[in-house]
Amino acid sequence: MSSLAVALTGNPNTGKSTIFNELTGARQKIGNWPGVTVDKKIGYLSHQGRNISVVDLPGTYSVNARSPEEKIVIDYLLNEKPDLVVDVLDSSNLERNLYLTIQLLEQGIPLLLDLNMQDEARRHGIRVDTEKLGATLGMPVVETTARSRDSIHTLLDVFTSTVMEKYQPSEKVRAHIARVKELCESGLSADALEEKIIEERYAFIDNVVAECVSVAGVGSKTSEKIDAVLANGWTALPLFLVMLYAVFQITFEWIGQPMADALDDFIGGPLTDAVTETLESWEVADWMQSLIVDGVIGGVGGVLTFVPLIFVLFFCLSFLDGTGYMARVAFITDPIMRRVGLTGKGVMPLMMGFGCAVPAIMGARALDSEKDRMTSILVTPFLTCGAKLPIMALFAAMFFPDNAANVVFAMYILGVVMAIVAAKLLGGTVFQEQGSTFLLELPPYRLPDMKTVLLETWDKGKGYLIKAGTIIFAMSVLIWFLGNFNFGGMTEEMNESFLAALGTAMSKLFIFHGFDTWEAGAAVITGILAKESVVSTMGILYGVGEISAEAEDAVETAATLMQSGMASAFTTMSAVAFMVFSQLYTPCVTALGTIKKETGSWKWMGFSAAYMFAVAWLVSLVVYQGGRLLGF
Amino acid sequence: MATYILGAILAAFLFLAARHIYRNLADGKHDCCGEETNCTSCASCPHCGK
Repeated sequence: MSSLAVALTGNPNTGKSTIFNELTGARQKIGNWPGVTVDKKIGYLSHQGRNISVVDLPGTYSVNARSPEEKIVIDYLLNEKPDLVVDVLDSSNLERNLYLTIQLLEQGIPLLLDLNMQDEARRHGIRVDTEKLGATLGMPVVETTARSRDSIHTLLDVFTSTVMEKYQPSEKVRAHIARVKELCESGLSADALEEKIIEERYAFIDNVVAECVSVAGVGSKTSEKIDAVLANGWTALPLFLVMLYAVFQITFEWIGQPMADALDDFIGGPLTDAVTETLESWEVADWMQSLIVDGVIGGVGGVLTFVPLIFVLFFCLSFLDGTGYMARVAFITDPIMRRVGLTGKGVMPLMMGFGCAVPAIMGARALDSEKDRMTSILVTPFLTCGAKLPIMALFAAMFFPDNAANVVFAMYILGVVMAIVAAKLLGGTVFQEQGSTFLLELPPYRLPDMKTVLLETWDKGKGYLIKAGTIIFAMSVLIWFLGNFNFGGMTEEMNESFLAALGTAMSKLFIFHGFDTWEAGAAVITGILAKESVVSTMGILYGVGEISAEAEDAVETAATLMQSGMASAFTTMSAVAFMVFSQLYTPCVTALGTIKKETGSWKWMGFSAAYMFAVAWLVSLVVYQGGRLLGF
Repeated sequence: MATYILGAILAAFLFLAARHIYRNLADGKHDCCGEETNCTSCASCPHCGK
């Protein structure tokens, strides 16, 4: 089989990622906002007897090699020299998209033009004469609608069979390149030269568009009408908060929590009972029964209980992303972000932090200035990631059963507020470089593609499931061992175990916070390894404690035992203090490793771990002591 | 006997889990791969780079 290397390039938000997904069948982030692609991605497929590799390059508006995305694109195209470069254009906005095209042509890179988003162009009354465009530029042109499989397969057929050597830049293109070359040799200053070249490019584009594009002027104004409300200066922020609140209600009250409760009942009831009975009938040793029931089921099961919440929350966020609303969030929050020295663009990585801090930290690469990037990396872990969510959900359900959604929402808001405050403080002290401006493109509102939304939801939830089966499983066994053994061997009293010793040492830090029990101290330690471990640790420690203390009540579900054990260990205020601390303290080791990798510095990793622990300790102390002073 | 069999099964699972964690650490991978990182799979994850 012969091979074919294809590169997809184009402006952000032109549907490259959707085309890439459809071509390769691979799953990746498909955002409906600019700048989603921050690095190159490769997928593979076979078609018409050829092995095809497809590279999805970052979306860029130009290739001046000023931003990391632009540098990646131009370096790849010039150095790797793929067999075919497909330039994906938004047909409804050709003027802007052709700027990148003409720059690539100036570099001598042969292109296949893909006029994507034909459906939206037609809705706006825009018609592109593809034959004339192809002839004007001297390159093959194909029309697609990214979400149509037939359309994508047409593109696949075209680029598999196209022989680029047959195509040569048109006379018009060659003349433009010659004029640019003349300007470069004219001895103008750098700034004047750049200005002249830009003028030349736009003159060329205007000419091409005038020849090949007609606008009927009957376009849909739906997005503008929706934006008049959702992106309006007065209503945007309140509606954004209402939208977030609705997401939390759906997750924690209406859909996610009932599913989580049902799963909790199943794991804590029939599953635990069936396993216990089976182990007893097999005459398995007591310690092994304890390891399986209290350690593995208590630990892993305690974390799995929250899977429905994770999936429902991520589904809602992916759905909103798919509608185009998330791009508006950057616009809406820009004034606030500017007050803390960032731009609205910084909201994108921060929003990722609600899923997992690791990709959010990596996503900060898309930010333009070093100050924005470093600030974003250091404040993102304050947000409530998917792994912290079970901690919040567990404590809220136990101590605030009637207001669980509101309490969790408040913790999310606390994370956002702390991230903003930290950004302001870091911007005023550590990073004093001038902030940057950013160009924001608002895509039209769309009904999200459900396949994409579901794939994204699965991708986000999948990591949680893998962690439950690996690190949480291993941690559960380790915690069970540490909780049941000491230097004298196996112990009946967990208070005398290794874990109690470690937890007791850590708990000394929290004597003014109301949660200075060794169990809470142990959970804080394991939470640094993986935040989900806080819940699994609680599950093992409190579940085991109750079972051994009240053997006659062992038929109660593990969840109930855990709750009753925890309920006596925390007061309402100390529970709130523990939630606040868990929300804000040191990121997990994976996030710390990513900070090290992204900043290239052990110093910044250590700084992140230390300052977040200090902030969490302080805020949690203020909340607990403040609550007590107020009589709670 | 059942205790030993279950012990062996748990040990095997523990070994697999530990190997997964070790490989993640050694290769700089993470289980959030695919989670809004723009990676299509671990094979093309920009973070994993494998």
